[in-house]
Formats: sequence, C-alpha cells, structure tokens
Amino acid sequence: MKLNNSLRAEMATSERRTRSAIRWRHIQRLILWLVLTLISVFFLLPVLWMITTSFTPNNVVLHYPPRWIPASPTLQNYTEAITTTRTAGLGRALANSTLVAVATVILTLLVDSMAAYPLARMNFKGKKGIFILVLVGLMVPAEVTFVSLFLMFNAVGWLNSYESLILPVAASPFGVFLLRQFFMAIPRDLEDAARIDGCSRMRILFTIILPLAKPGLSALAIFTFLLSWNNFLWPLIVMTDPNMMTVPVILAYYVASFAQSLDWGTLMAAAVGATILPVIVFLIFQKQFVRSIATTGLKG
Amino acid sequence: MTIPDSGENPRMALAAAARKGGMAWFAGKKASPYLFLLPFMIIYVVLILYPIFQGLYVSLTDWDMMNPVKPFVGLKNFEYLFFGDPLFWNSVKVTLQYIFTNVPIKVVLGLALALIFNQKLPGMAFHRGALFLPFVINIAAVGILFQWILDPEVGLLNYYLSMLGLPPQKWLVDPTWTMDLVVLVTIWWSIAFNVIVFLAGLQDIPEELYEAARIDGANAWHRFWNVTLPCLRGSMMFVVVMQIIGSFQAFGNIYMLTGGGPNNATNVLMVHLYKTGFFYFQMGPAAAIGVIIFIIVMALTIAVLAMFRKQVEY
Repeated sequence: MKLNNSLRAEMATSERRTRSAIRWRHIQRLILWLVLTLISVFFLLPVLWMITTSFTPNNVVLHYPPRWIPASPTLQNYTEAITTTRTAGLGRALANSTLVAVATVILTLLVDSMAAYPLARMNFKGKKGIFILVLVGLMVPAEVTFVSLFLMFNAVGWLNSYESLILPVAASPFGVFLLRQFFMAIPRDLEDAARIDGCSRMRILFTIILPLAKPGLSALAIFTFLLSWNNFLWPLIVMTDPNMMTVPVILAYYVASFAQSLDWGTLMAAAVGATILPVIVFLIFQKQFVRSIATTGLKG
Repeated sequence: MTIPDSGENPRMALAAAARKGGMAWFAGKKASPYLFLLPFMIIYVVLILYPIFQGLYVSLTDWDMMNPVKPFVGLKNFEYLFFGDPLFWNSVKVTLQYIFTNVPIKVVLGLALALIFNQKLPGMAFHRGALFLPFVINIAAVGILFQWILDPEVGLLNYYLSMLGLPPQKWLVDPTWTMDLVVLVTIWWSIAFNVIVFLAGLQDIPEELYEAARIDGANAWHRFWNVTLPCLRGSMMFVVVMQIIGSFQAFGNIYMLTGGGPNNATNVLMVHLYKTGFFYFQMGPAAAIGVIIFIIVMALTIAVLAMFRKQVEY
C-alpha cells in the first residue's frame, strides 16, 4: 500500500511537470506568433499604404489624418500615370521592361546552360582555369565596369538600345554556377546510353540534360527576370531617350516631375504599376526563386 | 562507366570523319567543350573582363568626350581625387559608415529572422510571403514610397509620431537621421535575401546533431552556439561576402531616397561615381573611383574568405 501511494504521488508530480512544460511551450509559441505578426506588419504596412494612396484622389491625398481606406476611391491616378505628357508614359516603359526582361531570360538560359554543361560534365584542358575565371566574375561588382561599358556602347552607337541592357547581363557567372550544380546532380547513365546511340553532345544537352534540369532552369529564369526588371543604375546611365526608358528609370523621372506638385496619388499609382508584374511572377514562382538563392548560397 | 567518344561505334566514327564539316564538329571530343563555352566566354570577356581593364586605362587618361585624343596622364586622376576633389574623402567616409551599419545589422537580423521563420507555426507561408514581398519591388518604387512615408510635412511616420506625443522629425532633410533611414529602408527592402540563404542553411543541419546535444543536456542557447552557428559557417561566409560587395555597389536605394544629400551626408562612392561620370562627364576621375571600389571590394572579399578558411582549420 505504501509503495502504491508513493508511486501515485510520483506520477502526480511528473504529470504536473509535463503539464507545466506543455503550458510553457504554449506560451513560447504564443510569443513567437506575436513577434512573427509584428514582423509581417512591418513588411506589409508600407505596401498597403502605397496601394491605398494610389486610389486616393490627389486633392485629398494630403489631408490629415491619413485615411487607410480612401473616402472616394478613384482610378484617375492610374490613367494619369499611364497617359501623362509631363514625362514619357508608364505604358511604354512597361513594354520596354517586359521585352528586355524576356529577351534577357532567353539569352541567359541559352548561353549559361551551354557554358555550364562542359564545366559539369566534360574533362578538357583549362577547365579549372575557366571555372575560376567564372568564380572571379561572381565577386566583381558590375558597377565598376559601367564607365568603360558606357564609353564602348557610345563608340558603337548602342546607347538607347535594347542590346545595351540585354547583352551585359546575359553572361552571368551566377547562372553558370547555379546550372552547373543542377547538371552535376543528373545521373550519368542516361547520358552514356545516349552517347552509345551516337547522340551528339549538343543533342544530349538539349534533349536529356536540360529537361532534367528544369528546376534549375526555372529558378535561374525567375531570378534573371526579376533582376532585369528591377535593374536600375545601368538603364539609368544608358537610356536617355524617354521612349527607351525602363520602368525604374521612368519612376526616377516621375519623382522629379510629380513630387514637386505633391501628386503623391499619381506617384503611388506609378509605383504600384511598376510592381504588379514582378509580384505576380514572384507569387507564382516563389519556390523556384527561393531555390535559386538558396542553392548558390549553400554551396557558394 | 565512361564511353570513348570515337572508335567502336560506327556512327561515332562517321561523326569523327565528318568533323571537318559544319555542325558535325560538335560531335568531336577535343573541340566541343570549347565550342559550348564560346558564346558565354565572348560576352563575358568583351562585356565584363575587358571593361575592367579598359576602366583601368581610362582612369589613367584625360578622357574628354568631345576630344578624340585621350592623352595619358598617369596617376593625375587619382591625385585629383585624393587632393583636389572636395567630395571624395567625404564619400569614402560615408561609404564606410554605410557599410559598418548595414552589413552587421543585416547579417545578425537576417539570421535572427531565419531562426524565427524556421519554426513550424500556423500561417508561416503567409508570413514568409510578407517578408519576401518587398524584395521583388524595384528600388525606384521603394524610394518613392518611402519619400512619401517619411515626408516631414505630410508623411505617415510623422503623423503617428505626433499621435504618440513625440516631436515630428525632418526625416531625409536633417543629416543626423538620413544614413540610419537609408539603412532601415534597405533592410526593409532586401533582408529577405539573407533570410533565404540562412533558412536553406538551417534546413541542411541534421536533426540528429540537435538530439545529441539535447541528450548531453545542452539548453537552447548552447545548442545555438555549438550546433547551429558552426553548421552555418558556409552560409555565413556567403552572406558576409555578398553583403560587403552589395554595400559597395549600393546606389539605387540612396539615389532614390536622398540623391546623396542632404549636404552630401549619404553621398556614397557609387553615387559620387555616377555624378562625376554621368552628370559632369569627368570620365577619368569616374573611372578612377571605379578602380578604387574594385580594389577595395577584391581585397575585402579575399580577406573575408581567408578569415573563414582559417576558422575551418582549427
């Protein structure tokens, strides 16, 4: 009986202990959840304010107190941003940016996968040297080449051209590095079988390797698209003709022309317009985008 | 198993025989790796490597856009920057100030956020989306948005400060605050990159290590210092290097928020380069600034890499 009692007492205390441990875990999770919510609010509120302002008429945009839901929402800011004659309209810039981004993605995928394939799969003289050269490119800040690139493109008359934005980013050391990682993970057997059948290296790359490396290709595609779309300094240097300007460059000119007249509604509409496409692309391909950064980050 | 490229197989032999003509060359063993690399190497050499050396050359000349003759002037441009340019040393100071606030904060905060976002909690996908969203907004839009929020007269921030009974500040106009605000906006815009890299690193740490530590009686703090941090060394090195390079390249965030002002308080080297080269068209001095940035970035990158390598060796 005595033994039974002490056993019961022990069981009771251990139960109490687990219960308090569980309660402590609950509290911990609650705190964590609160912190997380605060973080999200910090990152989301400015975006919400941008959207709200874009629907607020310019004549009430400066009213105090600020209103998170506009009293008389309007689309007029958007039409003003697109059709303005103060600077070039946003419409043309959206077309320019899309064209440049798509062309950059296609060229980058082609050039970088062709370069990554021998580095992942073939043995040849100078392979190590070439790979180190590519790695060095990862460390070179592109910005230090802008003065001479500008002078080169100026000399051949390529300022205000799409090529000037597409070509310099197509040979991406980052892309070669990323695709090489994916190519190396593909089993060799398939390739060997194809080579017994007499497939050329080029056909092997396009019919066997690339389809199997789709996750890597889509990751690089998304990354390149966003990088090209959001590229700022180089387009600002090269594109001086309003008809050739990309979205970020046009926005920089909008600030100069609309901020002085305090048309914050129009400015926010332009900012939202500049953001919609990248955000849609990001929401659809979030996984691939995160993977592109994670893969190189891990093995870099 | 590897298979020789030519020999037994008749189609291989055929391809080898036809090597001299057209596309069949790609079947060849010797030439093909170089042919695959050719398009990349042409663009890479002409538009990335050559401009680095060309920039070095331009920095040693008196490069007048209107004058076809570009006389070689030795180190005159560097001499001008060091002793004649009233803004150069200010830019160096401001750049260092930017880097020494931006890099440590973004590395530590990125790791802290990754630790939080690595937990399994309800609604995590939404919270991650919120954190990553600003990263895909282009910097021009971010700049405009924060000019609006931080506006001293009509901005949202000053309104809420006054609600809390705090005095409104002349954000972006008063030099005391501008650098801190630039860093804050930069964190908002780009911390996601570091979080993603650290998250990937965290997910690669084997769970057994934590279990072993737990059995040895290590508490959460010890597990972080003795398991998590050492396992993240690779990610840490990558983030620090990228952060340093990125901070030297910083342009859009500063140009769009302050334009280098007020009173040159945020006139970092890249902004100074842009104004010198593409506003005043002083190509020689601009190229010289580029060379200086290049040398500093290379030296710092190598130093950081060496530091991490030494740590691996203990």
